[in-house]
Amino acid sequence: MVEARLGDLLSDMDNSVSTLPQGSSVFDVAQEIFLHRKKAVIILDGTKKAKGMVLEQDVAFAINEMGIEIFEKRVEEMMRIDILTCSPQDSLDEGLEVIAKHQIRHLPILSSDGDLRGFVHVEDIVRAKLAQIVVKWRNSGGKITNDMETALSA
Amino acid sequence: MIRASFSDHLKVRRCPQSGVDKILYDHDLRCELKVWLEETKENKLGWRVNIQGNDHVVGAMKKEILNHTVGYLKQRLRKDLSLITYSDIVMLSDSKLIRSVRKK
Repeated sequence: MVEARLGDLLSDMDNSVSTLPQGSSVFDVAQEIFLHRKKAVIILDGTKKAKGMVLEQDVAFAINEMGIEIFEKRVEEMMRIDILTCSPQDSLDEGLEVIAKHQIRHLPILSSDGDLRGFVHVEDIVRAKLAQIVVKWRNSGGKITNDMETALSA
Repeated sequence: MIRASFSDHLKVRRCPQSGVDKILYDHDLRCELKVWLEETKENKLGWRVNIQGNDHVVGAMKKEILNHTVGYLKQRLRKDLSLITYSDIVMLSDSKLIRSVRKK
């Protein structure tokens, strides 16, 4: 059986990521993430080049540290310039290790040529790992209930 | 795990004066000054900012360049200055550049 890789679980970038220009407010970013349910917001400069990123937890941490006054600040004051990523070829276990160690929910996936391909959610990795375990169990003679099948296919 | 960055302004270079590998901060300030980040035992941080260029320009721009450099490092590392080590700076210079964001 071919083991699943992180690249197999990529979510659609158009639905999960939006962009905003430099100079946007943190409030604008918060709207994209919490109202429009985006996983991340990429910040672009005047030439449409990506300059940074804001994740859901970044807004939460900023509110905790600086209060709601952060909403009036420019996004450049709190955006990430560096991110931790995995490659599409990395295993599910490697993805889980990064997620657990650095307490993130959405893992960015970066190709070898520097293309940010998308994000993988921790739930998707866990579900894929469970599916692997179930297949191995079944192949070794274990029985799967209907409830387990339903949960894994959700 | 890959550490990736939207910015690649830190490069390892051989300092022509000393022949030692240091980190060059390729700043975007409009001045002909080179900004080096180098290891040192002379302070508690273990590193320092060395600005090279015309003495008058260095004198005039020193404070702004220091603030700009430290601000850049703090934003990339998301750490207070007192917690930034030279190893952190070397790690930043080794980050993979994010060249594009895949969207339709």
